[in-house]
Amino acid sequence: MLLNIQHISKTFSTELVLEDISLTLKEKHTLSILGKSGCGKSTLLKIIAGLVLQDNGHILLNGKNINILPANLRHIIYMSQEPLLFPHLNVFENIAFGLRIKKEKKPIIEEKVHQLLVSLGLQSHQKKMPHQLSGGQKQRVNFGRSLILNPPLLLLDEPFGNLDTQTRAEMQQLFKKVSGEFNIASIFVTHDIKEALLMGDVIGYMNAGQLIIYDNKKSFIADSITGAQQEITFWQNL
Amino acid sequence: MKHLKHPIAIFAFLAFTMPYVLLFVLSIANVWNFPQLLPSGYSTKRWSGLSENTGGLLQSLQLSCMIGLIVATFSTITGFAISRSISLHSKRKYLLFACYFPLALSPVIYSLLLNHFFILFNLSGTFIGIVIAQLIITIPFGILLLSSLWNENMRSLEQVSATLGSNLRQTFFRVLLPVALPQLLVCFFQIFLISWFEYGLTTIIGVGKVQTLTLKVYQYIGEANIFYAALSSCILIFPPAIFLWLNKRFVFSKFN
Repeated sequence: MLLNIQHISKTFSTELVLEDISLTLKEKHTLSILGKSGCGKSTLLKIIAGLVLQDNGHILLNGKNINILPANLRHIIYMSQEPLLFPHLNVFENIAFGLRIKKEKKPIIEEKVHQLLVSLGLQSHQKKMPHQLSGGQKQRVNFGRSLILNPPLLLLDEPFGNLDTQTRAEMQQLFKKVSGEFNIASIFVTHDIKEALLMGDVIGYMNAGQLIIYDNKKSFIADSITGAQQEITFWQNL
Repeated sequence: MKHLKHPIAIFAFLAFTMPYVLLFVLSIANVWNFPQLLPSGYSTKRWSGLSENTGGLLQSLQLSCMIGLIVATFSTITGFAISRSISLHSKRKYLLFACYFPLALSPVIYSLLLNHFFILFNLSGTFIGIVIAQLIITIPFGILLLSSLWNENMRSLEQVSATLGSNLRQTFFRVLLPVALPQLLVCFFQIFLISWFEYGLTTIIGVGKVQTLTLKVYQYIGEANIFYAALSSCILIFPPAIFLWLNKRFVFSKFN
């Protein structure tokens, strides 16, 4: 098992944000978590990434407890809804950022970045600055910046939330393709039912700090609290 | 000049440039008596006298440059570090409010209130005393100017950098500093100008012993020596003009 989360809880002031969360994730699998805004999805991802400290519980990555490990040593990459590219670096340098931090050799960096630029269809944009890119292109660069490090786990916090429908569909396909190519496990958080079903090998539903993991997509659809059944009925009745 | 077609634009251009022209003409004029439209003769003797440090102008220029650069550099660096610490503090609202106090008072009143301590510590009338006195005003100014840097976006960039493997030092040098650079340069320039044109505080704490260029200008005006006042004003304008040009050429053009 790649990731094993045991009884995580988190309270901000007096508000209980996460309540006894436990989950497991296999290698190369994607867990999509559906939930409304403010249900604690982002907090859960930030705790896994090491950006927020949990009150209770343990996080095991490849069987090793990473509770006290700082974010930069966890090798888990958190991607937020906003692409948040480094504004002072061009596309090439944004993608190369993690490798430069790791002090990789220059020819290796150039080779890996070029390979990714081709995979992501960004060859012609490598010299552009972030403000010269569209929302979809920025998110591609964001992917590239994460994938180049080949992390064992990628945490995606509604990464396509700000994109238009067509770009969103393209990005979903792209994510499926590249995460398959790079054999990366991921937790994909969204408030879109279709996206949750499309992206996840395993699906969870989060509400008021509690998480339910479903055995399969059928049981997810069958559970009325997820809203999946109502969505299907809506489209059938059109 | 090709944009100056509108009469208002021409008027504005002349209103901004003519005082500089007048200052320069005065600095090279031999005699200019009323009601003559132009000076009766011109000479570069005052400008050439600069190299011989006539009237101590060159010394004052060096002194002002040193004070300005030290104050601006120190205030920008400390403002950057302290504003970051304040942004993470639970009482940041009150701490930022406290930064307004040194700026709310007139520098003259402020220096009068502090003068006793400067005399007590033998700092009155010294170079270091002037620097410390100016820093008391410019550090809070730097903190206030740079506090807007530490917003949610900057925090998120720090988090992204951390998850990509950067330690605190790498995040600082590879992300925070380059992202903050335009604002740091603006802060440096603003503080340099505050220090450069500072008069009241320098007069009281310096007790006339530390003769900055601004003090020299006032001294010549007080002596009704308009020609030397014009010469020192020309020199006074020169470093800020260079900074303005550098800012426009390398800062704004690069980051806009």
